Amino acid sequence: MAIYWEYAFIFLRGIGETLLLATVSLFLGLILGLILSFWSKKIRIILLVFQSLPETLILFTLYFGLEWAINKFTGGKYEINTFFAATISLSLIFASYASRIFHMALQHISEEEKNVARTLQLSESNIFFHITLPQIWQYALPGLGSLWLILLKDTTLISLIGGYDLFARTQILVRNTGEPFVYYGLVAIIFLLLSFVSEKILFKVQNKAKINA
Amino acid sequence: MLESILYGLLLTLSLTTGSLLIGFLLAILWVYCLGTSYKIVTMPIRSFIYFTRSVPLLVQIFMFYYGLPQLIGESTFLFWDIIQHPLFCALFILSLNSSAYTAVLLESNLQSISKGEKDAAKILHLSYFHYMKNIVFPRLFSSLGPAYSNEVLMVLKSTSLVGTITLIDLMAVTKDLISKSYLTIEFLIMAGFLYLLLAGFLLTALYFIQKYVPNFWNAVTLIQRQQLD
Repeated sequence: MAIYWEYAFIFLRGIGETLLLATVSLFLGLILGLILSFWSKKIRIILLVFQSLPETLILFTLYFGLEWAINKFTGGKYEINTFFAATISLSLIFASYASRIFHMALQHISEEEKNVARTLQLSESNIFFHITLPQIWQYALPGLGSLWLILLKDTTLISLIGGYDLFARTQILVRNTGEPFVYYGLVAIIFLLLSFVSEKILFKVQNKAKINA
Repeated sequence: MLESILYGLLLTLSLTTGSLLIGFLLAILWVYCLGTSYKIVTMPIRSFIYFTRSVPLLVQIFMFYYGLPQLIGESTFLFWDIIQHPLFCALFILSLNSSAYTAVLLESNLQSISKGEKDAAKILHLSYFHYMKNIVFPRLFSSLGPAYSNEVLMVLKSTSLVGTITLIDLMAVTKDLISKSYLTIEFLIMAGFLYLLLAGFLLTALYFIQKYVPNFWNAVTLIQRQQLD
């Protein structure tokens, strides 16, 4: 019986790692996507490359590429943290899609509203943070929600570069117990629950964003 | 080296096109079944679509390839060798995934069909098959373009995961070459270019299909009508 408590603990730890990876990449990706959205027309080709390359390939390239670059310039023998590499690549992929969504959302903000704010002597940064930013969420949130679900699923790829998340921990459990269907099925149920909960939360946040308009 | 790269390229391309084709046909079937009002038909399909869309592909592949032997037991089934073949597993899971995503795309195209139209079809005593064939299906593919090209890219990207079940696709070939030669960055960049090439090829093919197949289809229906007259 005690061993099952240990397994449950490993599962909980895995869920925590998966959620941590997903949320950190989400915040980095949101910030990066918002920055990139201002010149998303000019760097369209780069964004398209990020969107059409497999996530696995981007993850491998960043993981080995960063290690290679750091070792070349510093002359040492460092190893990159798998969590770090996965966060960077997931947030880059997220940002490449999110910048497009933010770009679309920014089109909805009328220029006259900004001009009114300018006559009121508001600075450009104030206009962006207090007038534009609160308004774009209602247009951007449906798209960002589906991106979040994709991001949540992509976190399993960290197991391919030897990192730890729910899926990687489950692989160890399967190797120990020899019951693949039960444990992979449990992971599937956990992901179903996670996406169900995030859909509910997204629905509430969307409703809240609409009141601001 | 060149041979193995070509082999991987071919496997990735054939897996992508195969699962897109099967997925598209299955998606039409799902949409056909979802149009009915029988809960016993729609509920399993809805839950299947929800499952495939919210569970990671890697988990699905592992569940099917490693998990199924535990569920059924060893070699009691006639087609067991086929089902346990990694190529079948990859094609099965990828096409089911593609069908779920495509079904959602196709369904969103049906929003334009008003309730009045449905009632009119009911009054005219159109059977469900004729209603679907003559009223719903011409709308299905009307504005599929950009959304479906996204789906094509997604299937191409997800084929890179079949290396985990011992299939040697482009990604697995790249990993193999890296472990042999230690030219990590060079081979990864090469794989990136090859994937971009594949994506460009698939999108161009999709463009030409969308340009010429509807014309061909219209011509066929025109000839049929002339024959009827």
